Amino acid sequence: MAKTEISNVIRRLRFEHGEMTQQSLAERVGCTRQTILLLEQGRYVPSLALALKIARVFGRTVDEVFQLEEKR
Amino acid sequence: MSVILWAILALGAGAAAVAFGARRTLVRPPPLELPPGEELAPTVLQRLARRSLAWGCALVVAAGGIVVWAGPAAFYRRDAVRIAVTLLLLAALVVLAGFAFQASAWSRRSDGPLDERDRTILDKAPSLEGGPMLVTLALWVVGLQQAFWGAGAVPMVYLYLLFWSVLMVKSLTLPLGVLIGYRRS
Repeated sequence: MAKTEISNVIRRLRFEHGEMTQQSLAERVGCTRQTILLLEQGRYVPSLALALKIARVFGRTVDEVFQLEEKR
Repeated sequence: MSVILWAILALGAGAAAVAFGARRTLVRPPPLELPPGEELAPTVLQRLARRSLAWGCALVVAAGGIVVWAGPAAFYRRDAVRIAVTLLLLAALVVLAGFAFQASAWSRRSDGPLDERDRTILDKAPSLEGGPMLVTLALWVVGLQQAFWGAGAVPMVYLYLLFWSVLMVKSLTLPLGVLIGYRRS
């Protein structure tokens, strides 16, 4: 069975938004900097609520920020 | 040795083997990529868990040290030993219960310092309690049975020590489970 992973483009979006820091993004979406760091490195899958908040900060839809990848 | 003793020994050995095997096969995540010279600050829950675990362990070790130094029988004979050990264990319990209450209070507050990852780690942490408690109980039963097999009875003081040790193991595993949760994720 194929393994599914969720990747994201948060790091790129942060830099496109005035080099927003991880701390600043964390404060805006109400989580810790650790969580943002883990998200960017693909080591944490956010809840739908957090994914929506992050997408809203960047003015994007959730599937523009997060992508489902299937790996064999 | 009785069949029961063998069964407990086997269960204890089995539990230790399972714990050892689980640790060996634990997938260790790669280290976080951080800019050179930068350190990732621990979360408030991590800091509280570290402090509580350090104080809790120190107090439990101090209480255990007095019991070992004076001997369990001194519990009956010497009020000073009984009071000192009880006070140390109560202090450890206050520290560890304080951690549990504070973490729970933070977790309930939507505007509190915990985020969803902290809450997930906190929710999963109690799953660590069962194994160490069972191993502690098994070790006590095996030890007491070995020590007092000939006498046919166990001095009551050991029931008190057994209760406190299981309670302490249960209380210590919560902050430990939280710290392990952060390491695993």
